[in-house]
Parts: sequence; structure tokens; C-alpha cells
Amino acid sequence: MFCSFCHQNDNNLARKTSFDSTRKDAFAKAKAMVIKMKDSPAAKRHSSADITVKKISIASKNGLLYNNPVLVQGVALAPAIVASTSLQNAVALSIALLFVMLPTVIFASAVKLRVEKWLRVFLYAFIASVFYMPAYLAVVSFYPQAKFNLGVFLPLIVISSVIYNRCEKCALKNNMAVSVADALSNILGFSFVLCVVGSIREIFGNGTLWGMPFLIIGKMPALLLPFSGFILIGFFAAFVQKLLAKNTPIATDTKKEEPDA
Amino acid sequence: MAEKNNENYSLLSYGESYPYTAPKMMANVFLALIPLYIIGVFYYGPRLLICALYAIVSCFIADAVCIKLKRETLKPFDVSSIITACILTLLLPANVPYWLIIIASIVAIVVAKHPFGGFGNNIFNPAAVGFAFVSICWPQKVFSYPAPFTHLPLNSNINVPVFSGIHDLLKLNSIPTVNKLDVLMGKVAGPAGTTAILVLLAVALFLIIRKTINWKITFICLASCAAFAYAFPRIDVGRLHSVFFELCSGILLFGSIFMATDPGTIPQSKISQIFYGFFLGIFTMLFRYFGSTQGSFAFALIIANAISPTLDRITGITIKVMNKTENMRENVTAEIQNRKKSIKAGAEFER
Repeated sequence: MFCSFCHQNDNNLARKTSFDSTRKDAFAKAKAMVIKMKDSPAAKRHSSADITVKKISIASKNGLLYNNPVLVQGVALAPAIVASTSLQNAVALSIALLFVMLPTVIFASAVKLRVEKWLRVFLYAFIASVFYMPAYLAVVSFYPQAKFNLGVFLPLIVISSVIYNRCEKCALKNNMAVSVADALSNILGFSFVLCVVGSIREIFGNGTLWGMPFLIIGKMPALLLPFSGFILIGFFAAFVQKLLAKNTPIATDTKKEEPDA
Repeated sequence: MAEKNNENYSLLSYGESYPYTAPKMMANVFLALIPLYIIGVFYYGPRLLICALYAIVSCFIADAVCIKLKRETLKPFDVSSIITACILTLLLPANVPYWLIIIASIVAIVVAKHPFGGFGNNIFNPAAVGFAFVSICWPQKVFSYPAPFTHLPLNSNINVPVFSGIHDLLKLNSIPTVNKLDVLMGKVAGPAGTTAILVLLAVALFLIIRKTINWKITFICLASCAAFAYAFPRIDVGRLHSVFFELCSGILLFGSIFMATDPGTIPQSKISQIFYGFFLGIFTMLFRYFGSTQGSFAFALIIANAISPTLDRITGITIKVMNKTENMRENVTAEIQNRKKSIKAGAEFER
């Protein structure tokens, strides 16, 4: 059809006319599906509350080890490799991630954004950047040198790919309890890896732990350089893969098992 | 080529994935290392042999542990870890503490060799990685050398008067005041096995005649270094003097003979080998001129190793990648046979 405003053949205009009828059909089909699902014995065995509890238990396990954001998913590698040169840095980054990621995930699960994917990522970044200032204040309250020691990696937490990964894969498809459990487990997994790597690098590279002198046998300053971060994370990931080799990994990104009625 | 040699050395064959005639090559390298150890012991006494023993034992144990973790079996005549240990010892000064050698050899085997698949599959030279690690950690221990003919006690930590090498003097734009004959004979302060230039040249000739090392890489690396030193001299005595001192200082000559020609790490095609040698020389000189650390050749070699598959890919040859694993190769041959069959079938169908 010819659009009088833009003087072009608008295909969408043709589509809009038939939109209402197709939409009605889709609604009818979905209703029939829901009724069928409710009547089926499988649905009776697992009510929606049970499924939520099951999902929460899976999600809270996954982020720690089975689907660790750094070791298995391979996101948020930059702070884990470059900035985790001491335990203080690791704890500061973990707290910053907690302050930034949790509100973003809550928002993403509460307001399930029905916009296009490229726009969604920008919106997540906007929301996360709003919560950067409280995160910065919380970090500086116990670790005043954070700005100098972490440099650009503290504000870079805002656009860390952990947040987008979890928002897109979990928070967009599940309710708030599941997505918060998932986010918390991911933050815990992230902080676990960073604390282990950071304390190893601080003890053997600098001879200190949390700024205090600790175990001075000999320093290896090469551990404070980024290349040893790559090596340590690589060996750690290999170790975790070895541990998990026997256990079959659980399907992490929980599918919609029941349509939202 | 590989299959032919495997037939000849069927007793010692390591399978197709390994560099062909590997045991013979390793035996040649051992023969070439013996004169360097003799002249090292002549200059620095028996402490060098004890250093080598520490390196060999720690490398062999690390290698065995890694192979055990990978659930493979230790192959007979697999002495690649011992070669790594011998090269590593010659790169370090003779008064180095023993714990430093142990750490360097463990890093070389555990970090650089086995995560990439072990012998024949490593993309970085293990000795270069171990040397680079300890040179970043303890530069004052790695780059301060005792003078030749000083008595070195056999303790771990010893205090003897130490000097800086020729490359440090060049870095400060000061003219080395050493006799040139002494430099050629190796009678200057330097790493244990890399100062005796004449011995190194003889060893290189032996290895080239036995076709153990790739002469193109060694020659082009040294030539590009010489050209760089001739074009941009760091000392004002003269361009040829600059070339002489740049080539004879540090671990450049030793490394370009023994480390740069590691058959697992070099590119496969002839054109890319030429580029590899050229880049190695240029990177070495750039590290020497502008680098903040002193271990110039080791870092340049690591970078050159990293770009060697890219060079192969650019020149259109991916044979090396196919040769790396036997399974992949079998798949490729099966694919080629299938394609041939399908082509034949198609041709018959067309008729």
C-alpha cells in the first residue's frame, strides 16, 4: 500500500490490517495451551510454586561453580585478570558488582523490557550506571585507595558482561525470586574466583595480605603483571573443569517450563 | 616426508604428530651442547654442572608429573625436557642461586610446554618462557654476571663480585672497553654458555651440516639484527663496531641457534620462515633499544612464536595445523578420500 506521509510503499501498513485477527488467533491458541497444561498430570505434580523453588535451587548452585561467570562462562575476564592483584582489589570489585548488578537484575525481572535487543543493552547500561555512585561510595568507605589501585576497572564494572548475560538469559525469562538468586550466586562465584586469585597474587607477588606483611619468603613481582593473571585463571578454570568432569552440568539458563498465565 | 622417516626410525618413532626424526635431532642438539658446557666449566668451574643437574632433575620431574596428570605414558627417549633444562642453564649466569633455576625450569615445563599439548605441540619455546619469567622477577640476579676464572663456591647463595654484560653497556650508550679477541673467545662477563662466539659458530656449522636446525631462520635473524645495528648505531665508535658488539652481546647468537629453530614453534613454509627470522631480529633490536627490561631476545622470541601460525596462514599454508594432531589428520584424509569418491561418482554420473 502507498503511504501518504512518506510517499513510499509501506509493507507494514498492509500487515497492520491483518494484525488484529492474527493476534486474536494467537491468544486463543495460547489459552487453549494453558488449559491443556493445567489439566495435564505433569502440571498437577509440579505446581508453579514448586517449579519456582526448584529453579531457585538450581540457580543458586549454578553461578558458584557449574556456570561460574569467570571460569565457565568466560565473561568479566578483564577485572579478573588485570585488576585482581590484591585481596583488597578483589573484595572492592565484588562489592561494586553487588551494588551495580543486583538492582539492574531486579529491574530487568520486574519490568520485562519488550524492546529490541540492541536497545535493551543500552537500557541495562543506563540503569547500572545510575547505581555506580553508591557502589563507589561503598567501596571507598573501606578502601580509600580504590580509585588509584583499580583505575578504570572500577567504573568498567558498569558495562561488565556478567550483568547483560544474566539479565538477558535469566532475568528476562523468570520471576524476581529466581533472577535474584541467580544474580547473587553469580556475584558469589565472581567474588570467590577473584578473592582466590587476588590473594595468591598478593601473597606471592607482593609479600602481603590485605596490606599486612604475610609470609615473606621471596617475592615474585611477575605475578602482579597481567600475563600471570591469564596463566592463573587458565589453570584455575582447568582445575574446575577437572572437578566437574564427572558431574553432568545442569541446564543453566532455565527455559520457560510453563507459560505465564 | 614424515611417513618415510617414520619407516626408517620405526623403533624410535613417536607417531606422525611429532617432528620427524625427533630422537636423531635431539641427539645432535646434545652433541652440540657438550662443547658449550666444556667451555663453561673451563671459565666458571664445576658450579655450572651442579646448576645443570638441578635444572635437569626439576624439569624431568615436572615433565613426568604433567604427563602423569594427562594420563599418558612417558615415551622412551623423550629427552626434550632435559634439552630445555640444558639450554636454560646456559642462559643464566653461573653464580645464580639454585632455587631460581628450579623455578625457571618448573615455569618452562608447567606453563609453556604442557598446557599446549606437550612435546612437539608447544607454541612457545619453554626455555624462553622460563628465562623471561625469572628475568622479570629477579633482574638483578639474572643480569649480573661473574667475571671468568673467578672461584665460585658450590653454595646456593654466593657473594662474588659481579659485572654487567656488554648489552647493558650498549644500553647506556657507553663504549665497551673489552678486547675483541676476548669477546670472540668468551672471556668477558656474561651468561654461562652464550659468550664464547667462536664455539657457538662452530656448533652452528655442525648443526647446519647435520640438518638439525633451519639455517634460514638463524641467518636472517642475525642479518636483520646486523642491518639494524648498522643503520642505527648506539655507540659513536663506528658502524661496524656497533654491529660486532650488538651481535656478540647478550643471548642473541645462542638463542638464534638453539631456541629460535625449535621445530615445533617455527612456521612451516619457506617464505614465512624468512619473515619469521626477519621479525625476530627486528623485535630483538627494538626491545634492546626501547625496552625497559633487559631480557630482549626472550621476549622477542615469544612474540615471534606467537605470530608464526599467522605467518603460515598469511602465506596460505595450514599444513602445520593439520599435522598437529593425528585425529585431525585422519579426518582430513578421510574427507579427501570421500571427496575423491564423490568426484568420481559425479563424473560417472555425468557420463
